[in-house]
Formats: sequence, C-alpha cells, structure tokens
Amino acid sequence: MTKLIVVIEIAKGKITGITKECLTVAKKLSEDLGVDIEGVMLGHGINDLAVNATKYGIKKIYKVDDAQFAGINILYHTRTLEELVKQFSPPTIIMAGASLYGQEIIPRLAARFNSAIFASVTSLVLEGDNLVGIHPLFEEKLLGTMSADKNQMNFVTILGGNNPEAEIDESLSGEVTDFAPVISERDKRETFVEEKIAKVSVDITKAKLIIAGGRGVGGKEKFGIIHETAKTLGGEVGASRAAVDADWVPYDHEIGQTGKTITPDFYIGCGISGAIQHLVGMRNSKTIIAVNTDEEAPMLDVAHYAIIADLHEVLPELIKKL
Amino acid sequence: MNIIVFIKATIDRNAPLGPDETFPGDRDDKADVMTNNYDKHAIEAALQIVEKKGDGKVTAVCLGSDMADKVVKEAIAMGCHEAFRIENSEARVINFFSVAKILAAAIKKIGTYDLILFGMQSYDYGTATMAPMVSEFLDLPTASWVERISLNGDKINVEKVIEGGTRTIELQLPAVLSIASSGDFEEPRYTSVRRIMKASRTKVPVWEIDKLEAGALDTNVEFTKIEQPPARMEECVVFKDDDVPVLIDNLLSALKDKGLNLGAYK
Ligand SMILES: Cc1cc2nc3c(=O)[nH]c(=O)nc-3n(C[C@H](O)[C@H](O)[C@H](O)COP(=O)(O)OP(=O)(O)OC[C@H]3O[C@@H](n4cnc5c(N)ncnc54)[C@H](O)[C@@H]3O)c2cc1C
Ligand SMILES: Nc1ncnc2c1ncn2[C@@H]1O[C@H](COP(=O)(O)O)[C@@H](O)[C@H]1O
Repeated sequence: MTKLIVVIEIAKGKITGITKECLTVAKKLSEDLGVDIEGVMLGHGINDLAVNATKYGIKKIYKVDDAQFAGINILYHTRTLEELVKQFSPPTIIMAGASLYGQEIIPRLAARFNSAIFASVTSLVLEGDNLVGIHPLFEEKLLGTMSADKNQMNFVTILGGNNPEAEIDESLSGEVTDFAPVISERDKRETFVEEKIAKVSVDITKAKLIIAGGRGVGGKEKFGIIHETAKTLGGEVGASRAAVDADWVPYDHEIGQTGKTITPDFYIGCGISGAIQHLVGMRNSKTIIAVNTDEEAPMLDVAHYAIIADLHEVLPELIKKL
Repeated sequence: MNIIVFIKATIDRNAPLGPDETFPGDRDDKADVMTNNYDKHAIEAALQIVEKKGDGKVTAVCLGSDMADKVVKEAIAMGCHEAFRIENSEARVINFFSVAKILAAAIKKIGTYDLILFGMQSYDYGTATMAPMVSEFLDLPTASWVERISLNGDKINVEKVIEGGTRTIELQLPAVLSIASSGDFEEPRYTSVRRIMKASRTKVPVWEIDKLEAGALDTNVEFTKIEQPPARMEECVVFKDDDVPVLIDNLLSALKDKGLNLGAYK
C-alpha cells in the first residue's frame, strides 16, 4: 500500500500556510489512493504543534523533537528524513509545500534516493497508474504536464497560492510518535548561526483596495505618497520586496512569494516592475492597475490597465480627482 | 579560490513563445536567446568574491545548444576567466534530474573548485532544483537564495532569504550556492562594447555529454505535454503619451464603462 507523507514546515511557531495548501492536495490524493496521510515534523519543543497537526486529518506524525533542530540545518533535515523514508518501501509519496525550505530540502532528498521529483507543481492527482502534476513554465506563460508511475518513490513540492489551505477539524485526532534525529559527522559542515524574522502586526490580506509601491517610488520619504493615496482611497498599503528591503515600509506590507498573497477588488502597483516573485502574490486581484514609466515592465502582462507616467505625478492627481 | 558558475540560455522574455515550447529552445533566430537573467547575479557574485580575495578563477558552464554560445561569450565579456558549453542540441536532455547529473559530472571533470554557484531559478523551468540536486550528487553542503557572503578561511558565512527575513549559516567549503536577485549581488555589472566585441571572437570550447560519465540519464518523471493556459480575456489597456490629468481621466472613464469605481472604498 502507498505511503503518503507530508513534511510539515513550521515557522514562527506555527504550521505554515503553504503546508496547509499542500495538505489540501494530499487529502484528495489520500482519498483516491485509499490511504492515510502521515506527516513528519522537525524542530524543538513541537509536541503541541504535532498534536495540533493531527486535527488536519494526519493520522500519524513522526516527530523529530531535538535541540539540534531549533534552527534549520538542511543537512540535518536531509539525513533525518532520509532515515525515516528508508523505512518505507516504494510506493511512497513525500510531499512538501514549495516554500523556500521545501524547494531546498525536497530536491536534495529526491537526489539522495535517486528519484526524480514533481518540482513546484500546482496540483497532483491520480490518473490510472500514474501521478500527474502541472508545473508552470516560463513564469506561468505555459503549463507543463508531468507524469510518473505511482508505484515508485515520488517526491513532490506544491506551489503556493493555487489550493485553499486545509482547515482544522477539532473532531479529528491521530498518533504522534517520536523519531530520533540522525546526524552524521559530515552533516556538521553546515552550522546554523541566526535567523532574523520581521514581526507582523498589520494584515493587508482583507483589504478591498491595495496601493502598492516598489523601488520606483524612490525613497522612504517619497513613500509617503503611497500612504496618502491609500488613505484617501480607503485602501491598504502594499509593497514589493525591494521597497521592504530598502526599509521604506515594514515587512507586513510585502506582497509575493515571501510576503502576502492578496486578491483585492483593486490592486494599483506603482513603480513595481512585476518580478515573478511579486506577481504570484497579486495576479489574482480582480482589477490590476499598473503605474510605471516603463511600458515593457512585466507587470503589464498581468495588468488590466496601465498608466505610463511618473507615479509622483500620477498619484497626487488621482487623489485630486477622487 | 576557484569558482564554477552555471549559466543557462533561455528564451528572451519578449520573444514570442510557441504553444509547446521546450527547453532550451532550439531557435532559428539567435536574437531570441539570452542569458537566464538570474544567472548574471551568480556571475556577479563569483567575480566579486575573486576580486576581493585577489586571486582565483571563475569558470562559467552552460548546458545548451549552439545557440547558447552567445551566452557563454557574454559570461566571458562580463569577466569570467574561462567558459565552456556542454553540447545539448535538439534539446536531447530536458528533464531536470538528468540535467543535474550532467552538471555534477562536469564539476567532477573540472576537478578543482571551492565554490559552485547557480542562479536562483531559470526563466523557463524555474524549479530552483539545480543547486540542491547537484550539491547532493557531489555530497556538498548547500544554500539557496544567498544575498550576502563572507569568507572565513575554509568556511563561508552566507545570509540567505527566508520568508519574512534572513537566515545566516556557516558552510564548510567546497559548497554549492544559489545567488538571490536581491542583496549584495543585485546589480550585475555591465560589459563594455569593447569587451563584448573581444569575447565574440573567442571560440567556445564544447564538451560532449557522453564523455562526462554522468551515469544513467533516465528519469521517472516525464513531461507529457506542454500547453498554453486559458487565454486572458482582455489585453492590458495602456494610457500614455498625454498629460497626466488626461491619462487619469481616461483611466477613470474606462473603469466606469466597466462598472468599476475606484472611489467606492472611501
Ligand atoms: C527568494 C526571493 C524571494 C522574493 N520574494 C519576493 C516577494 O515576495 N515579493 C516581491 O515583491 N519581491 C520578491 N523578491 C524580489 C524580486 O525578485 C524583485 O527583485 C522585486 O520584486 C523587485 O521589486 P520592484 O519591482 O519594486 O523593483 P524593480 O524591479 O527595480 O522595479 C522598479 C520599477 O519601477 C519603475 N519606475 C521607476 N521610477 C518610476 C517612477 N518615477 N514612476 C513609475 N514607475 C517607476 C521602473 O520602470 C521599474 O519597472 C524575492 C527575491 C528573492 C531572491
Ligand atoms: N542547462 C543549464 N546549463 C547551465 N546551468 C543551468 C542549466 N539549467 C539550470 N542551470 C542553473 O541552475 C539554476 C536553477 O535553474 P532551475 O533549477 O531550472 O530553476 C539556473 O539559474 C542556472 O544557474
């Protein structure tokens, strides 16, 4: 019988949203295969989280709870996951969200088992004797269909933003078993030093209208016009990572792969080029308006309307007219 | 300090895409082929590290068709000391598992290296699998999305992007890194016309896949079809070349025609 295992990623003391999206895909697959979902969780002081995870319909959690896993070390994680997966014979499916962690650990693990992977797929379903997944190519301009025999080892990462997050069901429960960490001398070639993570206090995901600013805004003071426009129009402030990196606006406002996914009625992107990492966070907004001096900016590939002009001329004028 | 940097030839983002475009795009027109943008950050990182150290060599490697010679020459023009291409005409090997095996085999053949750098993802396949897979095939430590690097004897300190921040880790050399488009290597250097002219006259050495001892190149995941997503209903409506107040009036009336009201949230 097939084993279906989800690697449960934890960040800031919580199961990540992208893991919950992955669990939604896993749930459908588990029903089609007629098997239970199992999970593996690595970290330190994670017993409550592990118990909590069973309420997502995971029947058995392998918990690796060890002080050496307080900070993420990819070599430690790979080795320990390898030992766990070695216990199972094919067919086995090992899935994770295609977060930055998932995209690092799953290919490395797949290579260790000499198995190919469904890398960054939006879906994974059973079709006869095959698993079939869709992988976007050319920054989503084309879709590739990938197919593999379901009876072998299959490693999978599920792209974020394509599936709803699995919901907790208090009536569900499952077993939590300890799995001992395995670390070899060679794995000590990687040492965790520190992690800097921004605090989040504002939630922009509920806003109906977002005015987002990017590097094109040109400075911290100049970012004032984005705030002013958002205030006048009754919207929230969004930002590209470049604007957040430059410290013009706090991380709470970041949109994209490493920020928030938003689907407001209106998204107005000002001085944002539209890198794919940004687009994945806002391309499902209902009406997208770009304000950019460059007509070639990739943002125009997803925008419905664009004004080709300096944002510092456009926004004050827009405020006046509304 | 010897650094190997992997560069990929991709299709220019402004070139038309066929409905069933495959990697690495055997194109009739060389103008449609370009260096994978993210790989320029990796070249920049390699050059900066060698410049800072004051010694070392940067070797650029590309697996691609003869169309990719242009990309190899650009790497030379940017300042790489050596560059070559592994022949992959008619897109013989396209699945990323086999590509990773070939790249790992090429590294073994080069033999001496302290750092192996990748771009953070390719424009065409964009899976970011190469760095972690190749590192595993070579049994080396790895870090993806690296924004900052500092050398520390036979170790390297890297700061990498994570959701909501950065993580700093220390790796024993040799190591495999993928370089972020943000951070210290955000702005790849421009090359002068003179350098491009000079590089265009160099002959690109070509290696054969079959001589690399990459092992079996079969895969257990296959691309069965490539297709266009459902077409977008409307093209972007562009307002330009007019006074700003006029552009805004035009936008607002276009929105109104669609029954949309920007002023509805005040
Ligand atoms: C691992 C990783 C994850 C990432 N995740 C994210 C993410 O979640 N979200 C994100 O946004 N980015 C993310 N990035 C960064 C991303 O790759 C881009 O670097 C970033 O989105 C670029 O931001 P930008 O569009 O503001 O800047 P740029 O790309 O520099 O674009 C600036 C734009 O402003 C325009 N402009 C300039 N002046 C004006 C003016 N006066 N008026 C109007 N327009 C003007 C220019 O034409 C240009 O199009 C990530 C990067 C990495 C490495
Ligand atoms: N055919 C190739 N030749 C050389 N380098 C490649 C090739 N394919 C991928 N790479 C490298 O691997 C990185 C990640 O690509 P990918 O895993 O396809 O997203 C790229 O940025 C390149 O540095």
